[in-house]
Amino acid sequence: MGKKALEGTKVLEYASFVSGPYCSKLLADLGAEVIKIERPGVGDKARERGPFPEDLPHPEKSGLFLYLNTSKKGITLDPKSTTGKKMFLELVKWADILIEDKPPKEMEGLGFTYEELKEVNQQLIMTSITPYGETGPYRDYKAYHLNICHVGGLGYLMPPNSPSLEREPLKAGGHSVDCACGVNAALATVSALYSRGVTGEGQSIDVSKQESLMNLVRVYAVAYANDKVNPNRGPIMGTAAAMGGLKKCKDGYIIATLAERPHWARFFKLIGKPEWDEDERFKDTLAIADHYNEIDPYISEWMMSRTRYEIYHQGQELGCPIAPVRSIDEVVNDPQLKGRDFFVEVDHPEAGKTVFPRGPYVFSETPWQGNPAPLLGQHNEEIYCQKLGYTKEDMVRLRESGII
Amino acid sequence: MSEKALEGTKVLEYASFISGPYCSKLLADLGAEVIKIERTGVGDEARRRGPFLGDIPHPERSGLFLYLNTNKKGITLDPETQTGRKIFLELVRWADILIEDKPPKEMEELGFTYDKLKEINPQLIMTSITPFGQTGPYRDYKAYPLNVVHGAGSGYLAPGGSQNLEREPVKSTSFSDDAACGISAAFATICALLPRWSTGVGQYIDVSKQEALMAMDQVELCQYPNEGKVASRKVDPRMAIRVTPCKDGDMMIIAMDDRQWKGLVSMMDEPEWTKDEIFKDILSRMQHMGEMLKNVAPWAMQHTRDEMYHTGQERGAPVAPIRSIEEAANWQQFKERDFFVEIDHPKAGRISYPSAPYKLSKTPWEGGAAPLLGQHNEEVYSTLLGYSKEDIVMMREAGVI
Repeated sequence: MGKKALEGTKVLEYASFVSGPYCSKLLADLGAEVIKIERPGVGDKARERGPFPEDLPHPEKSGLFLYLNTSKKGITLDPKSTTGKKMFLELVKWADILIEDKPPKEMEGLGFTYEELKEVNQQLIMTSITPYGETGPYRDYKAYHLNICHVGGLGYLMPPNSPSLEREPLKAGGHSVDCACGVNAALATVSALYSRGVTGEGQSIDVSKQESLMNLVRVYAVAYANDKVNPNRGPIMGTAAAMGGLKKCKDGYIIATLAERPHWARFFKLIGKPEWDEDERFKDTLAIADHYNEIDPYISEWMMSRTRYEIYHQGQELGCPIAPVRSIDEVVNDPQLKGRDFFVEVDHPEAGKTVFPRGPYVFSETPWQGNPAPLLGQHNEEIYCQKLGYTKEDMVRLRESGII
Repeated sequence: MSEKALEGTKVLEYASFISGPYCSKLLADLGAEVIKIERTGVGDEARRRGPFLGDIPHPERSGLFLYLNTNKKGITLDPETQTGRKIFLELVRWADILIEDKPPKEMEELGFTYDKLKEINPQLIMTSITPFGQTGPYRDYKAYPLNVVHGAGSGYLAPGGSQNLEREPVKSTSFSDDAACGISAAFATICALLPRWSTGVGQYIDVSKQEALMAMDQVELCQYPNEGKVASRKVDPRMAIRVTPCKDGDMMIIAMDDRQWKGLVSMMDEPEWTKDEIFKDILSRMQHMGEMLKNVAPWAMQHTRDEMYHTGQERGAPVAPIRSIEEAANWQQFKERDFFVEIDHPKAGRISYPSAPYKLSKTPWEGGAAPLLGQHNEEVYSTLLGYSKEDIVMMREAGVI
């Protein structure tokens, strides 16, 4: 077939940094036509963030920007000027979907509320991504990724199974929390698109990053809301404490998840102590937790004399859920990911050939695509002249007055 | 209008624990009709995991299960029996979407590959969620959430900003990584549903949990294949972001660029030390992070988290309190947005759940209870598939359902 899943879907992105751009990237990579609006002269904030090749900052070479904006068209526009506002509304009229991440007050000030935009485009789907949502007392509060992470209570729970509460809380690696929020927003957006296909009606979607995170930490949040138990990052008791964690071995760490009794039988076999399977002390997982300390020295010694991959492959052969803790280089060179062509090469006019992860899903009929992120204002002419009918002279004027 | 966004969409779930069930929960909460298949007599693995209400283990009172299975219909079925297999295929014929998380080998042995199921339902969309995907040398390896986290390298990056590499890697809390895979799978599934409208063609979606995690850790990851640089959890000495103890807990203080630094200085009422040459621009501040923190610390100890949070917002300094789950759950913002919703459940009673992180203006999210084990057997087998009461008794006795 070769058609893209979202081919023909028109998306206007008025967002920057991680969540909003990631949301529309997901749509763009599946075939939607995404026009990204950036601030004239400056562009998306992600352009200022690394990692940069050779660590030399350059707005067209930010790894963060290049990854989050694949397959999009880029234009510059300042919607705060009168002409800019008019042009913004023309783009809204063109779009099926508007994805934005501006503070609610700013959108209200510009006259870009959903009610107002709906007058321009009856069927518009508008997805607003904000730190705390469009309503409630904190709607106008600002927040960065880290703020959300800690205000959402996630940081407080990390690292889980910490030996003591004195150890400071953590955040998760990378921008994963902001990305997860972008995936949520994308899911809600395509659901609304599906619904519009049936009813012909557009709608607005209010996505809160904070709530998005709470959904991921859900079990803990539910425990408090219901039982008033306040979970923390302190030690986990029981079997989990016995073997639920990391074990040091010859060349790093391995992680074993021996959740059920049969896993232990296989694990005992792995470490050359099959007789322990019959041992009364280890008759069930609770008993193992009670007696774990007695066998820990042996297990530690066994681990320390073997490498991660020896333990990993032998363990998997026996059906033991064991895995090595890997660094990024090992992961990227992983034969599994190589075998699945997970990394794709993208050719970008400024940054050159770069390698990115593709989408985590392989569609049998409507393939994923990864085209390079746009240069700042790269598609100005295409969009303004060909789509909206402005002349070349208009363009010069608009550029000189800083509107585009 | 208060139709649901995915009303009329029929989903068959043959999955357990987190990723698969979370994927179909997301669809169910938006109005899809989801039939969940559980193992006869035993049920979903999540039923055996806490947190349990009142800490009393009971398969109908697992918080994990109750949350991940809202709005679904639950049936029991053993597709490894001959009759069970036949019924499974009847359900596949009924469904628009099949969501499954079984090892590829197991599905092949059961004759449930996409190619075979497509013969029964040519328009079927099938979403398979596995630890490492359907292809490649590791396709048959087993993995729990923890294994995937560390296998994907995410653990190696955490705790982000560690003082030294000797500190052991950590995983993210709870099952958030597995849940994130579920969202990716749900997004892909709806994206396959959209073109089916115009083309009438179903398709197969192969979701790898490992890849789903890696697609979210993007930046660190891209550095390696492009430059051979291995990111780690070690702190970037230039990072101007720190956890700082204060009067009633910990505070996250960010003072990266000039605007943020000005905000912080204004918050502290412009003390003398901030006027020192070494703090004049971002590069110099990065080089002198140590001194900066030393000076900020005594000031922070005199203020509470809320004081700093509110003043910080006024003055443009991005600081945030580190909250416990208790504080987060009681937060006024959640209350006013009705983020937690109460749902009645026949065994677990009336308990509260987080709602969705999105509010759709026309087609609202809805929270309904998770099914009891086999709760909808009769409805599905008799009403939907046309089996008689006698058939159902027979199948129950034979352990098929």
